[in-house]
Amino acid sequence: MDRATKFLAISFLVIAFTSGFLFLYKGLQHKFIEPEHATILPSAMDLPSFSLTDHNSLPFTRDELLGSWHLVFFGFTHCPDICPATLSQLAIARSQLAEKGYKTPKILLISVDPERDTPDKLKNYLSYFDSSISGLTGSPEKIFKLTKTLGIFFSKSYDQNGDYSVDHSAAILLIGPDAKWHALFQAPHKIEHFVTDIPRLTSKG
Amino acid sequence: MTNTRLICILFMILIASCNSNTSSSVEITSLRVFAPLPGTNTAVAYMTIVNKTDNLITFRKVHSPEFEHAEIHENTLENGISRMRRLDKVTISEGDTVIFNAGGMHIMLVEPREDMVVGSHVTLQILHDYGELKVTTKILNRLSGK
Repeated sequence: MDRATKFLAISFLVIAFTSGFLFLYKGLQHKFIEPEHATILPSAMDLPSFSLTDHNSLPFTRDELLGSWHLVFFGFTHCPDICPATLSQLAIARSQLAEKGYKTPKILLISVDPERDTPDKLKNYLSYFDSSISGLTGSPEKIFKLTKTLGIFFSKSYDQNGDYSVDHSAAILLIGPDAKWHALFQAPHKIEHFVTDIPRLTSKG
Repeated sequence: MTNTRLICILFMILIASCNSNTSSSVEITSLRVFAPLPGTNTAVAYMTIVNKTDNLITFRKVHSPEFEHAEIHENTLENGISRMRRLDKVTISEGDTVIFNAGGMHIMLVEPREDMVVGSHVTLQILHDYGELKVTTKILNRLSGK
């Protein structure tokens, strides 16, 4: 074997080895799969600092969100239909994700009816669903300031008897362990939407 | 005078027979009633109503002996905003089906007269143009649907 042939053989082996290595490396690398239902924000949005009270009457600030994924829903305890239906869906989705071995986000209900939703009322109400669901309340001004920054709408609607319901955004926000808003689930919600997309979104590099 | 009386009686019999047929041809299926959540005083009922008659039927009132009052409400979703409003009536065309479901139309049962827990019995009387539908069911758990 002359020198030129040897050189060609060695070059071929180097190229083959490198190509094989790169092929295997790429294959082993984690591939991000786009969510089917949720919308990913073009760039994750920093949450503003806020100071609310949780269902155990403890202070809850933006820092409490650090370190875990959170699904945040805005609702109120006097809502007999869509709020309990959504919380049920979230609790069931969370349980299905846990059964499949996925990390499960914590769930937060932020009250858009803070005058009626005291911490005790939230605690009593949420005990029905899932111990992982936390409720937040605070002064109407604090709730308004936070929701306004996030583009979440709410407004009281009175009936002829003077009772009121609250019209509100039905979207669910996915907040990352960096306390940034990463993605959004728009209503109408379905359990399978959360079960399909949450593993994809929470494994996003 | 006798003829007039006779015509009146026949007319009343005719109306009564129409009422009876119509009521028996309106069916309620998939009835689910969920208890008030802790700390709240409102239960919710979902169902499917099928109008198998040849008449348009309008439902205006709901009553439940186990609750102080009952109302028909509708939740709508428009531009991502959820809104709930009371409905004065629900109209079902002949041969049509109307579904009461979470996020749509539902019956709110307000202020239970006694503790309403899973397994408690609830009766609904739904009044329409030609009579009433009366159904009884057991309260279910929201999470398990059982």
